[in-house]
Amino acid sequence: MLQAIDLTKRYEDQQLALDALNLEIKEGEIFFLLGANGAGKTTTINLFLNFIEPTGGKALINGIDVTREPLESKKYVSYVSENVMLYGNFTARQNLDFFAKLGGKPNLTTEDYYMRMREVGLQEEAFEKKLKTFSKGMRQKVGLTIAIIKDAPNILLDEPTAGLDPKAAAELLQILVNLKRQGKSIFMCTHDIFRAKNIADRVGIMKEGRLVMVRTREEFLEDDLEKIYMNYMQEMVIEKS
Amino acid sequence: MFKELLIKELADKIFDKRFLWFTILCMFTLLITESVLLNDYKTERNDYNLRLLTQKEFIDKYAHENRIGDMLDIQRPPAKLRLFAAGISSDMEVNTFTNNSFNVLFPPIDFVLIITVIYSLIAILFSHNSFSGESENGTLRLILSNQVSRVKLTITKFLGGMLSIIISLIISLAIGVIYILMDNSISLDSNDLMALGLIFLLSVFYISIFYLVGMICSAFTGSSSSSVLLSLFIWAVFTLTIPNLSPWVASQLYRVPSINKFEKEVKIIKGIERDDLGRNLCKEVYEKYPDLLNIIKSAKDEKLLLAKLENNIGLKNEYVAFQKEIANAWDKANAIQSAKSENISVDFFSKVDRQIALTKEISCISPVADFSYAVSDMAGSGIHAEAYFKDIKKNFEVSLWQFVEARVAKIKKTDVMYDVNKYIDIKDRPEFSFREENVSGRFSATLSYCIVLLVFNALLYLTLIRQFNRMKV
Repeated sequence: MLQAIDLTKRYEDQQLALDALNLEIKEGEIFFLLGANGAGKTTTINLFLNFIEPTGGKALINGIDVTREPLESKKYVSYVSENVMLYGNFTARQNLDFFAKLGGKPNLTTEDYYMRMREVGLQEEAFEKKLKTFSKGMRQKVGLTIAIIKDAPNILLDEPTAGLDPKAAAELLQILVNLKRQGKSIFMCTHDIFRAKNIADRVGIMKEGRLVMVRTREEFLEDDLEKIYMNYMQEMVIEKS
Repeated sequence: MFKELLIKELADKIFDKRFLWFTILCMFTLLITESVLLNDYKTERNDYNLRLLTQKEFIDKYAHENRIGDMLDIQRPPAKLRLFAAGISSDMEVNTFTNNSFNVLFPPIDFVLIITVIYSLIAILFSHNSFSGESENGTLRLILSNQVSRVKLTITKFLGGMLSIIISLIISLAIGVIYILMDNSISLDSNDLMALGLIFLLSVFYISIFYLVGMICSAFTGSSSSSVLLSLFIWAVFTLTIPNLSPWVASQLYRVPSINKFEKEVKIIKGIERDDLGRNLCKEVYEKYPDLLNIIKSAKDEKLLLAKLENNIGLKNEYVAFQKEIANAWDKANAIQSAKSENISVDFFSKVDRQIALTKEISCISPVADFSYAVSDMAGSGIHAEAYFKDIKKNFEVSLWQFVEARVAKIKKTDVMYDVNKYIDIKDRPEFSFREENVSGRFSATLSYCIVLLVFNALLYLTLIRQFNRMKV
């Protein structure tokens, strides 16, 4: 479970990146956070991963305050970034092995790796190939395999479908649905409103550091999510001009 | 987890093609260097042995008391570890049989230069993207999303990267040592091998400074291209600017009059001033002997004066006393002016020494200077080694002169006609033998530089931790 309680981040230049975010993502839930560039989506992920310190409030992972116990809290979270380059000179096996050990899974067999790779749609032939020969979609799948191997109850994804072709993006979202069925809490930041409509249980819209709207699946299917999102974006453009 | 991070970092570096190329480059450079320096060493050693033989033959045949000092000009045998650290030439004060002015323009490359230039650059090229590269790949965020603290990551990155460089260094150094040992004309004893071990350690401390510089720049800039530029700038300041600027800065902070001005002043003191003083002192003597002076002036020539003196014993005695007082007056003038000149010399050379010491102190801001001083002293080719040799030489010269004086005293007892130009048999004189200082002595001499290098490492590491904690991942 992921919780943000009045979570605030103001940078040294006094720019308010996140303004008192209150949010809870339950087990087996997929939450999509939508918003324009600079809205505060990545800042939220950075705060959950303790890459930056909050200036107010707190972020909890499975009830653990990430600022007070950063290393302990990281046991319960996996992360998939937008641009997973990984180590190009290492093979997929070496990359998986390294991150599995960092994730606290030191005794996995080749068969274990194969099983996880199949889950994300990677062929076994890719196992001994160097990452630098992989396409972006394949690398993204390896990144997701790393997250799956860690088997943490919470998964944070920062625009993982950016730059992927439609087929690869659809495959990736299907994997997220499977993970949700395993009881994982999934928090994904994206611009991709169409994917959100397909699989999200709840959707939030973030604007200039504030979470301005949260809708459940029933609510956003009833309303026109695309229209709501575009309205917020338009308001922002008008305010700025 | 520490082990995994360390192995990953080490593997990342070792399986990089750059590692292979750098190791091959250093290995071949060191081999060529060793080959040139070994040749130089053999020439110097032959030169030294030939000089010893010539001196021995000459002194056995022509040992005159007033020439022994010149004949027995004690030289220092070339240090074996000059093959690694050329340092100060052992024959810098003498003309060698094969003087080659190109050596001054293009001094031979040695292990010290390979470390200070090539390896320090390798360290920067290996470390400049430590964090920025991982950040650009997205792996830094992925690593830190696990139970890895930033401090642990910096330690493993530093140790892993340094281990890869140490492996390359060991390969190069081992091949260099094997090459030397294969040449039967030189043997390295346990003392030499221990000194080599310490030189290796000093090299590691030195290289790690630049590895840390690269890592700090990587964390500071967050971009690999900016990091490499900033690191190279710092490298140039440490390696080129500070050591070369230090003599100028010292000369500005502590001024010493020019040598021309000093020599001119000494010339005046010992020339015009001495003459004036001598004449004034003589005047006082003249005033004491007015009658005698009138007689001397009235005498048309020396013969007439001598005749007058011979006829008058009282006058003769007065004349002798007068001459003695005149001589004393000039002696006094000489003594006063010599003392004055000596004071100026002492003052001048103490200022020169102080300026040299200040230059050394300023240059120590650069790790290159600390490393060079430490390694050359450890190899027996540095400033300390030169001072150590001079002490031994001085002690030997004292004992040699005691021997010569005793021999002369013995000869004088039997030979009343003895003079300093006469041959004396000193074939049984004490022979000069010089052994390089032992490792513990050399280590004590280099300890302060080692401490400075360690302090550099500690400060840079703390800066790295601070910088990486502030880095946006």
